[in-house]
Amino acid sequence: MTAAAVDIENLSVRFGAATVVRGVSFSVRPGECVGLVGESGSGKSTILRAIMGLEPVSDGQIVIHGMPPRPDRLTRAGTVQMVFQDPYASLHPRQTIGRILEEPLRIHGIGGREDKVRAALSAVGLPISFRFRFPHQLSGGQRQRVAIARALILEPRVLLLDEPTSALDVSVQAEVLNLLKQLHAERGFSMLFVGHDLGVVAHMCNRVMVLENGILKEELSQQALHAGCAEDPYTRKLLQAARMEAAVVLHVR
Amino acid sequence: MTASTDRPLVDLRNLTITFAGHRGPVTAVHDLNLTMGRERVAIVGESGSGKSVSARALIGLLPVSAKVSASRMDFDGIDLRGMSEAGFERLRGSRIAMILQDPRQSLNPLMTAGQQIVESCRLHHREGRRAARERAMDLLEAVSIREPQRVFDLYPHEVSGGMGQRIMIAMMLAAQPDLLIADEPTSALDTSVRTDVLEEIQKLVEDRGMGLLLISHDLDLVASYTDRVVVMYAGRVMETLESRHLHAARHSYTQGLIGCRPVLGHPVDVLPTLERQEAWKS
Ligand SMILES: Nc1ncnc2c1ncn2[C@@H]1O[C@H](COP(=O)(O)OP(=O)(O)O)[C@@H](O)[C@H]1O
Ligand SMILES: Nc1ncnc2c1ncn2[C@@H]1O[C@H](COP(=O)(O)OP(=O)(O)O)[C@@H](O)[C@H]1O
Ligand SMILES: [Mg+2]
Ligand SMILES: [Mg+2]
Repeated sequence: MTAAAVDIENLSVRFGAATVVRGVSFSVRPGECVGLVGESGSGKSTILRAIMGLEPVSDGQIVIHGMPPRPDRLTRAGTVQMVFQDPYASLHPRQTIGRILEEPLRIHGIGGREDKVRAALSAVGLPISFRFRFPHQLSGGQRQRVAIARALILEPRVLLLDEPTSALDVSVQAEVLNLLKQLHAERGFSMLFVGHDLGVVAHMCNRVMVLENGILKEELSQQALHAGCAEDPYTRKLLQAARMEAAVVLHVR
Repeated sequence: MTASTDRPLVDLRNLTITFAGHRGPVTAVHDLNLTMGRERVAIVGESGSGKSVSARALIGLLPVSAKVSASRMDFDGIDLRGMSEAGFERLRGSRIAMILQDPRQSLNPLMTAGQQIVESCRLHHREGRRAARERAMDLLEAVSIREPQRVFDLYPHEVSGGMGQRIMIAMMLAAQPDLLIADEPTSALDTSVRTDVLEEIQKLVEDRGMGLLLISHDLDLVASYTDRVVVMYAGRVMETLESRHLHAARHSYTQGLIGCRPVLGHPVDVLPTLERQEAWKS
C-alpha cells in the first residue's frame, strides 16, 4: 500500500466547549481529488485549516505524506497549499500580482523568481503583463486564477480548496474548474475540495465525504453521487435538494 | 388591494442608467424595457450585468451619482421619473418592498425582530400595541418560524440568514405591498434553507396576488420560481422568455449560461465555457 497523501485518523477539533469536528477519519490517496460537503457550520473549513496546521487538534491525528501538519511556512513549502473562497480577501490589496506570486518564493529562498512568476501566470491562463496590476484591477475569476497560481508556485503535493468557485458566476466557475482539472491532470497533485454545490463536487472529485455537525456521515463514489445513490438519510436529503434544482433547466447540451 | 385595472404594475421603457466613471460616463443599463403585472418575473445574468441597478432605479435607491433616463417609468400608473425622495419613501414603505441578499442589511440592528414587525403592523394597520404584538406573533408563525415567542426577542445579529429572510417576509406580510423585489434573496443561504425561503416568498406572492421581481444569477432557481425571465448581459436585455422554456432558450448567451453548469447525473470531462460575443453589446 502506498502512503496516503493525507491521512486523517479520528480527528476532533474543539473550540472551548464546542466540539465542531468529531472523530473524523478519511484519507486522500496521491493524485486523487476528494470532496468534502455539508451545510455551513458542519466543520469543512475547520478540517482544512487543521490540515494546514492552523487549528488545534484536540484528538486524533493528521499525517501528510508521512509528516505531521506544521503551521510554520518552511515545512509547509512544497507540501500543502490552500485556495480560499474569496480571492479578494486572500490577496494583499496593495501588492502587485507579481509581488504576490513572488512572495512565497522569496520566503523560501527560491531563486529564478522572475521566470517562475511568468510561468505561473501563463499556467493559469493570465497575460504576463498582469504582474504589474493590483488585485482590484482584476475580475473575480482572474483573482481566483492568481490565488491558484500562488498556491501552485511552490509545487505542493496537496492542494486544499475551500469553496473556490462559490463567489463566481457559473460561466467563470466553468473556466476555473476546467483550469483546476487540467493542472491536476498535468501535475498530479492531490486535492481536497470543499464545496456546497453537489454538481460541482461530483464533477471534480473521485470520492466525496458527507459531513453533518462535525460528524462524517457517509462516503460516496463519484458514480454514486451522479446516480443519486446514498444510504444515509441526511445525505439523501442533500442529494434530493440538489437533483430537484438541477432537474429544471437540464439538457441543453 | 386593487387589481381591477389592466394597467401594468411596472412599465419601464428605454430605461438607461449611467454612472460617472474616471474616464467619462459608464452606461450600466441600456434601453431596458420591462412590463409586468401581478406576476413573477426574474432578471438573470452574470454579475455586473445591471440587474440590481435596474431594480434600484425602480424604487429610487440609486446613488446621486447615477443618471437615470426613461421614456416611461411607471409603477401602477404613477410616473416615477423625477419623483421626490419623500415620494419614493412612501412607495417603499407601503407599496413596494425589497428583500436583499443579506437580511441583516435590511433589518434594524438596534431593534428585536418582534419590535420591527410590530412597528410594521402598527404603521400599516393603525393598531394598538397589544393587537400589533398578537399579529406579529401570528406572522412569525405564518412564515414557519417554530418558536415565535423566542425569535420575537432576538436581535438581527442573533438570527441565522434563513431566519432573517423569514423575518423580512413576515414584515412584508404586515405591510402588504403590491410588488416585491427580491435581489438574490437566497444567495447567502444553504441549499436546504433556500428552498424553504423561496417557498415562503412564493406563498406570500400567491396569497396576496402581488407582483414578484426576482433577481438572481441562479437559472435553476429562476426556472422553478418565476413565470418569465429577462436575461441581461452587459446592461442589455438579451432575451425574454417563459421560465418553463428556459431549456429551449434561443439566445446563445442564455444557452451558454445553462450549458456551463456541472450538473449532477450528467458527467462531462470538460465543462463548456461561455464564448462572449462583441455583438451582444450592441
Ligand atoms: N475559531 C473559532 N472559534 C469558535 N468557533 C469556531 C471557530 N471556527 C469555526 N467555529 C465554529 O465551528 C463550526 C464549524 O465551522 P466551519 O468549519 O467554518 O464550517 P463550514 O466550513 O462547514 O461552514 C461552526 O459552528 C463555527 O461557528
Ligand atoms: N455606485 C456605482 N457607481 C458606479 N458604477 C456602479 C455603481 N453601482 C453599480 N455600478 C455599475 O453598474 C453595473 C451593473 O451593476 P449591478 O446592477 O450591481 O450588477 P448585477 O447584475 O451584478 O446586480 C456594474 O458594471 C457596476 O460596476
Ligand atoms: Mg467554510
Ligand atoms: Mg446585484
